[in-house]
Amino acid sequence: MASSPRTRKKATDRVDVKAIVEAAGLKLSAEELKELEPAMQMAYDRLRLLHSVDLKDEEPAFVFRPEEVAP
Amino acid sequence: MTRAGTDLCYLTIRDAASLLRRRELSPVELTRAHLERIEQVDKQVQAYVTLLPEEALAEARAAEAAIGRGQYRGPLHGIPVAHKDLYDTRGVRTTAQSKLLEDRVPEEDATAVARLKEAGTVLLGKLALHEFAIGGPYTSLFQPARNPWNPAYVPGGSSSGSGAAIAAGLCMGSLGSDTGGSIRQPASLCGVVGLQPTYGRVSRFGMVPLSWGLDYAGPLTRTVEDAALVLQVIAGHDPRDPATSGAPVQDYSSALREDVRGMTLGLPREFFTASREVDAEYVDIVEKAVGVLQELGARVEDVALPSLEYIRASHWAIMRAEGFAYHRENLRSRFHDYGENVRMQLSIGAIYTAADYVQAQRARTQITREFRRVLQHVDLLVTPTTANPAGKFANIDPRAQLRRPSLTAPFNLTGMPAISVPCGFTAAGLPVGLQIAGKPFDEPTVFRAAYAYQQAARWTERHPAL
Repeated sequence: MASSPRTRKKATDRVDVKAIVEAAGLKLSAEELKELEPAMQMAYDRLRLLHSVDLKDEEPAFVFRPEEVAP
Repeated sequence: MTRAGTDLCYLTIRDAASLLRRRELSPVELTRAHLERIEQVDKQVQAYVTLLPEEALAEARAAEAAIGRGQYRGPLHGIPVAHKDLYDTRGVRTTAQSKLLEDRVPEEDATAVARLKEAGTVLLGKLALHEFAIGGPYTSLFQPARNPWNPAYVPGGSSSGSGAAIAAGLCMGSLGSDTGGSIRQPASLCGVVGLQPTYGRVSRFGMVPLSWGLDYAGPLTRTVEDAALVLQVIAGHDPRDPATSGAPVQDYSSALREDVRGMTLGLPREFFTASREVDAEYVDIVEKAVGVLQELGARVEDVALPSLEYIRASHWAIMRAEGFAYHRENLRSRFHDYGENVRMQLSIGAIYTAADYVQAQRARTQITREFRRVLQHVDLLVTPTTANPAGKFANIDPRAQLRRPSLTAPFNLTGMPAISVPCGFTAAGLPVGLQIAGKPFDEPTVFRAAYAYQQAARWTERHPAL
């Protein structure tokens, strides 16, 4: 099975920035990837926190109202 | 510039409107005074990216003629304004301060711009911002706006030019946009008033989006009463923005009273705890402002908001996933046409999966529920607007900026109206802002407390020496 771009290397616990941006179709230089890494890591750590929250049966905050869509 | 000209530029909208209505001041005179001041001062402030002197004077002459014929349209008739350059303006280049939109000329006005034109405002030009309303002051197009209180310092963002222009007396009102604090933060750092209205109160149609679920349109002005006057005109349902509400638009000016007796203000203590990222001097100034509201008769209560721990995570996921969705094709094909910081900021959005986005939206519901529960027991929440005063351009650190807590984003996430009102100055002479937030569609109570504070503290009467 192919590994997800978000597969973690447990020893270092670093996010694989190169795989993520390539999967999104972006072409970044090695230097740009290095620059992006701390921010991407921060995003990943915040996501882990978000997924650890017990949201019980909360529904998503968006509601689709077709009558509000102008023709 | 004559002393009288500078004085005209620092009139409030309310006072100018009174003179204009009685024909004791001409819209042409008022517009000329602003154009002269822009000519003399904007070299330092760099607030304007597009100036429309001939068009503005033509609009001012038309306003003068209409008022002369007895066709006075209301308190914004003949008032010189300028808007953040992500609001579409018919026939006037609108760039979002990005090379990607360098030559873009919209064919129609954004709804909020159109409503202000209908009310008779005079458009002086378009104002600087952070590129696509994210990132930092350095962009792929134009110079960054500077803080009028000290041009070595940033004015905050992303409505940087709006905050700077209002503080410098270069326009009387401005439309900004706010996705995580982009109206309130520059208002705070420039010592002016900035309002994020309730989600759905003001149409975003014709704004270049950053995040559809978190973007707000709102005014920056020098006083609370002026913010109420601008909101009065731009608020209301717009079929072209399906998020706008049909809730009736209240009379905001009638809410302005110098009385907060009987009001209960909730203080989320987490917002007042100085730390490595939260400036102690700043917190101290805001505590004193809360003391003024107490002296005016408000009751103060500490409140707990446990969800603050994951608000940033939810806000980041929604804002960055939506921002990435909007920019993805351009990031793929024109990556280096974006400014260095903005392309990095937008690329962070590549990390989010659909499941992450849904989780963030579910958290948003829970967080909003918690805030609304707290607001059943208190009338308003009061906090510092930002964690720190303005920083120097020379010390800009994009990574540190990402780590810093946002005291404004919780109200983008929860959809509640929040205003920043000046509440003092640091020892270095930089402005500090007090944030007052209320229940959805309860802008009148937010205005009432902000106005009472403003009238007692009088910080809005100070202007930078330029």
